[in-house]
Amino acid sequence: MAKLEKFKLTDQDPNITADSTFGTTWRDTWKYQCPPKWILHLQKGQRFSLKAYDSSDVEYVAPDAQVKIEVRGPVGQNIINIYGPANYLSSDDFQDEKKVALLNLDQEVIVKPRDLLVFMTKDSTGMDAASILTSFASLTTLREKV
Amino acid sequence: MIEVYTINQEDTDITQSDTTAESLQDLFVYRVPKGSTIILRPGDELCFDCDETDASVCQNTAQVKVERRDAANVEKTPLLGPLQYANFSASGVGEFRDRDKIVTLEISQEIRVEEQEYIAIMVKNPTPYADKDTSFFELRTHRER
Repeated sequence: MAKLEKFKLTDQDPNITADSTFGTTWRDTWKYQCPPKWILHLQKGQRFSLKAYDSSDVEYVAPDAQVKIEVRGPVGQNIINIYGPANYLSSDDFQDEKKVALLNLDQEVIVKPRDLLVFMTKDSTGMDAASILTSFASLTTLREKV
Repeated sequence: MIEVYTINQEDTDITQSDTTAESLQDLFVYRVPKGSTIILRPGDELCFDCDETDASVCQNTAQVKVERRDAANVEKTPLLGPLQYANFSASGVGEFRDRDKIVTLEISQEIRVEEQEYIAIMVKNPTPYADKDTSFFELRTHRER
């Protein structure tokens, strides 16, 4: 039987690549590549939060700021949507148990070694490398060593 | 493949229109793109922030209705309401986070909205009418593609 352990993925994880370019369209703000020998088990009810600032250092606002999360194969193929596309304010709470965004998956989604888990954002003002440094995200999930 | 999917006002398949009279009128209409089916289920959530064209929030007594329409806009299936805007908001600001306060669709079984069919969010608000540019929503549901 697989041994699952709690895993809190944040934007500071060493397997995260942060976007470093400016843009006002959908951006791969943080791209996590699952390391060898690990599998993530994304399940219904797991918590997700994201705080984002634009290139003017202003926090994202409705209605044009958007967030979504995708799982992709190692070269970006086989995209599975696991959150959103949602308004930014739906996922900006890190504290209140009944307000923190939850994954609403029907069934478990597996992130295999080398697969990508991508936190995407879009905002009309845009993000740049500096604003990504002040933005942050976390996803609490389960992982398994294989 | 069935996956979670959220439809919101920024979706490229949304048509937005200000309301122009004090009657139930389309504010946001989503047309299901070819190759997809939206699968509405009991418990699917609708969050909605409705603002007026003068930038104030809509009145608590404004009416909100959601319906599915077939591709010819003839056959209609009620999904929610009409109900007062107060159900979606506290002091006029739409609730998007607090799971204890978020509105769910009024359907008792799964409804499939096939490609080229519509989901319409309608509003009845007295003048100044509802504004498409400052109002926003999320329908948290599933899609098959």
